[in-house]
Order: sequence, then C-alpha cells, then structure tokens
Amino acid sequence: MLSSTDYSQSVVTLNPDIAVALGDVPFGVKLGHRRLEKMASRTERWVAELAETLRNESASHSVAVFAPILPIEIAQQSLYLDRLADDLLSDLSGLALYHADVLLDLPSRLSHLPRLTLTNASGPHQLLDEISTGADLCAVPFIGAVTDAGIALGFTFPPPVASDKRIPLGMDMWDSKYSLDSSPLTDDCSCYACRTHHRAYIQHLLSAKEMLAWVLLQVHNHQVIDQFFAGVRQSIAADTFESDRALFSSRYESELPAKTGSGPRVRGYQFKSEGPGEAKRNPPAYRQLGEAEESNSEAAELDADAVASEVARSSLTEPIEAVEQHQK
Amino acid sequence: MMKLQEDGYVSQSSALSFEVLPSLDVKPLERSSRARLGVLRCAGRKTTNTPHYVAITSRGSVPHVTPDMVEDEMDVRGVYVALEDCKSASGQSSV
Repeated sequence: MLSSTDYSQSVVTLNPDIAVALGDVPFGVKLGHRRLEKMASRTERWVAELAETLRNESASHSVAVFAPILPIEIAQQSLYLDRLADDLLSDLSGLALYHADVLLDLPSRLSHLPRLTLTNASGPHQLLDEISTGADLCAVPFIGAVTDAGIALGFTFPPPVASDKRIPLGMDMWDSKYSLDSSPLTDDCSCYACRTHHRAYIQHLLSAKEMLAWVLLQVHNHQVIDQFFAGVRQSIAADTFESDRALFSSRYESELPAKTGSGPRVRGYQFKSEGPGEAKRNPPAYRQLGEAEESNSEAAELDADAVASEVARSSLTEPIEAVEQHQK
Repeated sequence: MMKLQEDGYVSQSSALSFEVLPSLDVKPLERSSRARLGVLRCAGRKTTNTPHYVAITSRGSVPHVTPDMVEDEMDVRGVYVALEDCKSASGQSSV
C-alpha cells in the first residue's frame, strides 16, 4: 500500500522536474456513490501534503507540482478546485488530467497553469481532441503498442491533399509486400530509420525477430509524433487548427492498423502474473526434432491464448465436477 | 505566481515556468479554438514549445531505445516515469 507520506518522500528523494501529486483516479473501476464523494477530498489532502512536504524540504523546492484533476464532473470536485485556486495556487506549477473533456469547464483561475494529459489516447485523432480542449503536454500511450506490433506510423498534420480513399495511419511492416520495397518508411522523414534504412530491411528484421526492428520503428514513430506536434503548433499559430483537425479526421482512417504479427518476446514485467501453473506467454522457440512436421503445419502465429487453451483442454487440468465424480 | 501580459500569461513557481503565448493576429474571443500555444521552460532543460508530447518510459527508458539513441537520434522533450519503476526513498521494496 502506498501512503501519501511515502509518496511525498519519494518525490523529495527522486527530485524530478515535475511531480504529479497523488490523486484518487479510478482505473477500470466503476465508481460507487461513496467513492465519488470521497475522491475529491482525498486528492485535496494528498496534494496539500505533497506541497507542504516540498515547502519544508529546502533542497527540493525546485520540484514543480502538478495537481491531478479527477476524471469526474467539475461540479463534483468543485471544493477541491477552489482550494487549488486559493490556498495551494502558489505551490502549483501545472495540472495533470486523466480525461481531457474536464478542461472545457475548468475554472478560469486555473487556466494559466500548463496541462499535462495522461489519458488512454488510442491514436492521433484523440490527441487532436485533447489539444482542442486546451492540453499543453500530451502523453502518447499508443506509440508503445504500435511499435511493439511492428507498425510504422505515417501521418502528417495538416493532412495532405485529398485522395479518393482514406489514408491509413500507419503500415504493418510484417506484411511481406514490403519485402522488396526500397523506399524509406515514410517520405520526408528525417529520422534515423528513414535516413539509413528502407522498408524491405525493416520487414526482414521483423520476420527474423531481430531487436533492431523495434529499435528503428520506435525511433521512427517518435519522429512522426514529433512532426505531428510541430504541425499542430503551426496550425494553432495560424488559427486554422479546428479546420485542420476536421480535415485530418476526414482524410485519415479512424483507427490505427491492427496488429497482425507477434511483438517482441513478452518480458516478465509486461504482464501481471496470475499465479502458479499459468501458461507461458511466448511461443516456444524450438521443439524436439521429431515434432518438426507437426510444428510446420501449425502456423508460426502460435500465441499465448492458443497455448493457454491447449493447456486447459489437456488432461492435466480437469473441471472440478469431473474430479468430484471420480472421488464418488 | 502569475503575471498577466495582455492576453498571455506567465506562470512561474519553482524552476518551471510556463507562458501561454498571446495570439498575434487574432483576439482571444475571436479565436476559433481552445487550443493554445505556450512555452515551457525548466531550469537546466531545453525550452519546449507546447503543445508537445511526453514520451512514456518503462523501467526507466523509452522502450527499445538506449539512452544514447534518445539523446542523439530522437528529440524527446519530456518523459513520463512511473513511481513503480523507481526504488522508493527508504530503499524498501518498491510499490
């Protein structure tokens, strides 16, 4: 259990540039009536505690505190926001948001603070929605999943000239159609991957399950996002942001390409262990020699779900009813 | 601490300062969007024009890329680090 005191102490020790104060932010949990009532007051207490700890620690007064704005109605957290705008304003350097729509009703006394969005944005359209409500810094959670899936992003803001079909947001580099394509991942991209290598090479690296594939894709995807934000800034400066945003949503597909290939080997810290006897997450890298024919006929796309369901079907695990039958 | 400069604001406390840039051509009420430009300055760091992205890290690094790659080949202006990826202050097992 993480206590607010431990959290504040950790902030002092780690001395980050920006620390987001603890907030009672629900993740995947349905909010009960009681929790709704308590969320804001708890968060207020935690923010005040962090601010006070930092005030008392002279060495780390350079940590900027961002207060979390809860992903609930503004009215339900109004007391908390009032406290932020009054007592705690001099301790705050920004706001952290878990749902960008809250920005639409944010009290004006807090509007000068920079806004960091920590949402579940699933693609560039969602990022544009966040920016449109007034976000300043956006965490981009989808890059990780996209790179792991072997997808190279390719979109610009403002979008290019009209075409007949909607343009896909990225390319699935697992696709063998790229195996002879010697063009860079995207045109006009100045990232290391596009300057030094071409699509066929990335496709080969992925099919050989080489680490370099994901390294190059990660560098490229971050560059695409970097250029995307540069385009956003130019568009806001020219006051054409809303029209460019509408254009973007009409020119590009609404979803990122689906994952078809297997990602890099799943590491232990990337999933939560369910307990003893769970199935392995990675397909086996090799088998006994005699099983070579069987393994050839099974697709190379053996994934964790298939392994798990096979383990469940085998005689090693029996339904509880059957065991009781035997005992009778 | 907040200073108002026409319709732009500067917010500064600690080593971080954020300035919302006033729109040069269009008056605030006539602006068609709530999107805003800003400049984020942090002592000892590169100045960042906003809106900008914050890279997500896992176990202390941007996944798949080494710190020298991040430095040389990428232009990352900010990273998000979760507390569970850091050892706690007292050296106890991290939560």
